Amino acid sequence: MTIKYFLNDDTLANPVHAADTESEMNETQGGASTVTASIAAEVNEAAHTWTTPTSVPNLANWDSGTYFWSYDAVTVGSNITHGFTTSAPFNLSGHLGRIDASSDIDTVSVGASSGTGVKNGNTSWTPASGNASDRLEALLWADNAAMHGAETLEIATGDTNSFINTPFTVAAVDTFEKSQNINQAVNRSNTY
Amino acid sequence: MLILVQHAFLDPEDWHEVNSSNWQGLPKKSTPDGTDIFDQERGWITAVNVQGVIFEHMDHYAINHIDSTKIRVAVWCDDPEDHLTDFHAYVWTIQTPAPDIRIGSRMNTRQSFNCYAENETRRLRALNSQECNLALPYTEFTPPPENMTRHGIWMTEDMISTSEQVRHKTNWREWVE
Repeated sequence: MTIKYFLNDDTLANPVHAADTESEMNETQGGASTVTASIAAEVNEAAHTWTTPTSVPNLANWDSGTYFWSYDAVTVGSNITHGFTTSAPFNLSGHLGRIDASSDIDTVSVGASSGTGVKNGNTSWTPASGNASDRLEALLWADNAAMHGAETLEIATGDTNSFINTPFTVAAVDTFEKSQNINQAVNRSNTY
Repeated sequence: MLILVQHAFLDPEDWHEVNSSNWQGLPKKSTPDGTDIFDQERGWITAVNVQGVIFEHMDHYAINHIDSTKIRVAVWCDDPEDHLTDFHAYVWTIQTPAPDIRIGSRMNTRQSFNCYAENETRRLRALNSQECNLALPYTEFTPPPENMTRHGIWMTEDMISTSEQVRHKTNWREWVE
């Protein structure tokens, strides 16, 4: 079973990268809301970050495979380019990333977009190894090409279209074995 | 198609709804020349909003109503005092939202644009976006006819901020029919 993390609007207490908004991503979809960043003219910056809570996914070895990203841009300035995208010559420093308590362990870049609507795609990624306490981060970058005037990037959160789907696997519990374990526990408790 | 227009008033007001087929009927003031006086008469544009894409901070705006499901929005900057060596234009094609197989046939926007710019960096910057079809020299841009064109007007940061504060929030899903 793979794990999907919803981009929610819960303020994150310990982000690694500073951004206009810093929120959590969780397996549970949060309440419907939006996050809004204002980007000054001729400025590119970290608009929004989402990070899993401490020690989530709790995996030392992150699965290699397809990571699917999606977000709903509900209102956007026409001069804004946005994405989980790294493009040093062209002012974009977003990414999906594996982070520890203070920095990037490994990152991957995906395509950038303009305008509104559901933006999505997938990328193949083999994350570098790390610790079970490492977290998943989605850093959404924005570049405002306007020469005069700030423009906004508003993203839907707690939304079925805003998430990161990972190939992380959760070990399935064999239901027969589980039921036997429960029976044995009950029997032991009935011993006088 | 519904478009939202914010007129450049002395006392800014919220978005004004206009059907794209009626764009050419909007009142028009001449190109600002620096001696302009703001009032409460329509004629200059602060911003245009189509499906949550907000066009603002440009010298000129034009809407070409192709049909009820498709428009072209052209916005460009050619004031030599502000943009010498960086004249640029963006021409967006915006269609009504439609089912998108990439998201399980749920509704999604259909938007794309061409960039025309003197500055090569601006052209390359535009090409970062998957919605950008073409990035060409500004000489390849043909401004729309004058009767389709409305002009923006330079505003201070305070005026821009006030204009933004009086706009109600929008979401592209409001354009889903």
